[in-house]
Amino acid sequence: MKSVAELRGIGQGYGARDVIVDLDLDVRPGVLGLLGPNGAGKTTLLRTLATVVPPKRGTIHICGIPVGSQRAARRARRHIGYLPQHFGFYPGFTVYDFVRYCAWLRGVPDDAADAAAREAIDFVNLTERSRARLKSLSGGMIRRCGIASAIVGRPPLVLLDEPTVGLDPAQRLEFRSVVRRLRDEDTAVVLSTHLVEDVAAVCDDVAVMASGRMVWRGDPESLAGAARPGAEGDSPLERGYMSLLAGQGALA
Amino acid sequence: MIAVTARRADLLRYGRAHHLGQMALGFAAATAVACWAGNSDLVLPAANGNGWTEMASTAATAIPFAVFAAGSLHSAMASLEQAAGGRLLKAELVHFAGALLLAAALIGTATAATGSAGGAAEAVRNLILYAGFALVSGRLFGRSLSWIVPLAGFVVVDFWGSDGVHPYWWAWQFHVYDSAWSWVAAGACLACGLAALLLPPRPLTGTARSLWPAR
Amino acid sequence: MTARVFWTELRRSPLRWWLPVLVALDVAMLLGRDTWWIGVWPEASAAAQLPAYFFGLVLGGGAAWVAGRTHRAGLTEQLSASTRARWQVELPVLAGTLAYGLVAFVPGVVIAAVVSAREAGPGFLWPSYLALGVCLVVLSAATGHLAGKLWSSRFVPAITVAVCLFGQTMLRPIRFYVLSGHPQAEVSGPALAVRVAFVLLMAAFALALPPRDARLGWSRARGVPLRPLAAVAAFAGLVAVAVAGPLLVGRPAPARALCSDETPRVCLWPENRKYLGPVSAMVARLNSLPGGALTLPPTFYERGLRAASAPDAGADFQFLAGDLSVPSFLSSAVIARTLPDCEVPSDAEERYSHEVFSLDAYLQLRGFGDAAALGNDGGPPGVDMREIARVASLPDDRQAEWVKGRLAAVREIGGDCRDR
Repeated sequence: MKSVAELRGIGQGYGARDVIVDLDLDVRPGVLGLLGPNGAGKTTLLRTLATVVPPKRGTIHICGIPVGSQRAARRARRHIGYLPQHFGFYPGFTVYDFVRYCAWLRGVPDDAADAAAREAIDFVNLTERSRARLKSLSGGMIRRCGIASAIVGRPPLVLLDEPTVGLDPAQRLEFRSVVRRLRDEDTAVVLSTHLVEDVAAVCDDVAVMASGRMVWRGDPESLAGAARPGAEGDSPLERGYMSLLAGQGALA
Repeated sequence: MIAVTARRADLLRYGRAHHLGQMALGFAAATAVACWAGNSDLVLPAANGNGWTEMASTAATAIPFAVFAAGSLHSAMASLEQAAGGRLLKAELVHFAGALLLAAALIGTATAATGSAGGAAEAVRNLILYAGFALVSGRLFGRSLSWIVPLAGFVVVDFWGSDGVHPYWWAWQFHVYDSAWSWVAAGACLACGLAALLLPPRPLTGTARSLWPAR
Repeated sequence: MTARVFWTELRRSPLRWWLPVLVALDVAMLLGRDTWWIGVWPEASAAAQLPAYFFGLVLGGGAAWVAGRTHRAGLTEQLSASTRARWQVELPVLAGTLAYGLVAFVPGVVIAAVVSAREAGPGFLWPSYLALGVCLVVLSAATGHLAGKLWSSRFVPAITVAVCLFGQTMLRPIRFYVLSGHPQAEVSGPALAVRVAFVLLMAAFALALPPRDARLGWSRARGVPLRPLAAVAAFAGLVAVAVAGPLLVGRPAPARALCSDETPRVCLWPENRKYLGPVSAMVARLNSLPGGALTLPPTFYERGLRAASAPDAGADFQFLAGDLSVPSFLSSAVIARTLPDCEVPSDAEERYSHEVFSLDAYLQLRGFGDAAALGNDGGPPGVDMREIARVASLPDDRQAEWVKGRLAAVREIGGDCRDR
């Protein structure tokens, strides 16, 4: 399957501190879960993939577009749906306004934007609240709005940074079904999360990051199989993840 | 017809996310101040032998207009707009150009009506100058803080910009309206500001983040 | 407020990065300006106070930005749920902002004191001027804090800067700064007291008023329109400041003026002691012109030492931005006693004025003793200052002849003249 995004030799950092070190990544249709402890570089990697920050080193291709300049980055962003962990919003917007504005930002053609916004809102089951103002919505609904904003216009690459933070169990189940449907439609989804259960539920592929490096990549079953005897965790996947981190010294 | 309506709705949404309502109120207040100040002179502390300097009020009344015009580029949805396509940049350029033209019309009319035509020209020139400063400030410190560089420029020029009788060559805000040099300098400042607006985002830097928290 | 909370606030305040800038600004504003204020305590005090005007602008915006963190970080609700009273939560934040503003103010005050101490007259820095500067810093910070707390708009810091700038510049009755501090004037006690009270009121509002989006909750003040009442009180405070009278008022003359021993004498305000030597030298140069061509008063007084109704008191000299202004006053006093009282025909007024102006320019130059300092440009209308400078460089007897020539010309032009 052809890569939607290719990163080669990516380096990122704040001043002298490296946050991502020499990272290669291919993102293909399906759901890629990014796991890692705090400070592992997951958010920085997503921001780099979203072309929000230029990399210090390395090359990026999004849907075949080499992203080497601001102009190229803007062109590439038509193919990217990005939901930051903390996303701001104008509280006076309705759900429709919010998603429609994000469609406009992404460059969805004017004649298709209205339908795309309605479809995205429908996709996250907010059609009935599409005229409600964001300030009147619960945290979970706002998250769903965010997801709608990321998928509006059906970009081939969707980047979701900690999308399940603050969702209740029912909302998380709903979120998983949304991601599964995206997967079924051959969208490439990169999902950064702390929650191993989310990975187990929806991801085809898992990348574990620690200290700015990708220390492991494979499918969830292999991750579960990586568990060492006596490793901490309530599920095989958690034990595998904890074993990997312990092996990297990332738990210290 | 539908396309025009949709485009208008897009612009309206853009305007709401970019505080254009607040900018309009700010312009109204700044116009009131410009009318009130008219062509009067402000007496402010200065480094020269007198200990004070008498400056045309337009050296100060242009600042709020410039800061509102540049500051309104900040968006409540900045985190999502970071990943926007080229359409946003075009909209921002049109937004800023429109705001600057409106500001020029307002301050020019207010100063001409209550002062003189020459004062109005100086006001517009100072607006151009401070608008450049404000864009640079937005680039350095974040768009919410577009006021820092214009304020710094005002402080330096006010305090050190004159020998008590004549302005120094670099105190462009103090020059009379027919000083071609001051117009060139104002244009250059605006060009610097526009370049700052168009530059690609900075790579990650810890220092910039800690100087002024992005939020 | 524990010291630890305050310390935490100091460490996290964005203003910490700007402290070096403010300190540099303070020092640059003091030392990067004309230095005539050095050595005169009231002038040095006013000079040390002056950066507060600019600090006010920066701190107004900075305080609004710092206080607005609550909105930007979405902490309003958490603070509403705090076990501590609103003012206790706000106090470390405002105190941190004030600490940065006031710490930046200190180096200028210290420098003003140190550089003035060697040649200054009696006394020390005048606390009233410094209090005025502190008032302006606190007022700006409190206004910014209040605005940043009440409104979440991103424009609030910029608006606060504009309010501080235009409020202090264009509304003269509510000014909190002075441009200079002549010994003849002092800060009015009542005006300062009202300003201090107003500043405290604003600081109290900044600490105690709840943000607009916070519930009044269980407070006993529930139902009381706190914010409108505060707005009315603040407006009343501003009115009180405006009607409290001028900020600077005249000082009574000192019991003992500082006078030179020579004749003619020179008498100054004691605070202007550093000028006694230079002004005495000016008078001595005028007095040393041979031939008795000039008539000097027995005493030259600085303005304010004797009643305005005293004879010739209008010609008493003043230090306007240093002693550069003194020769003009001395010359006027000498001319008033030297020139005959003439009835000048209207068709000769121009020639008469030219002679008098030439004499005036010469006397200023001789008194000051430095043609370059007075400048070759300017001077009285129609007078060639280069020619006057040439005369002033001649031997004294030739200068005396030139003066007598001018006086003779005046008599000739004036026609009907009487000696004074």
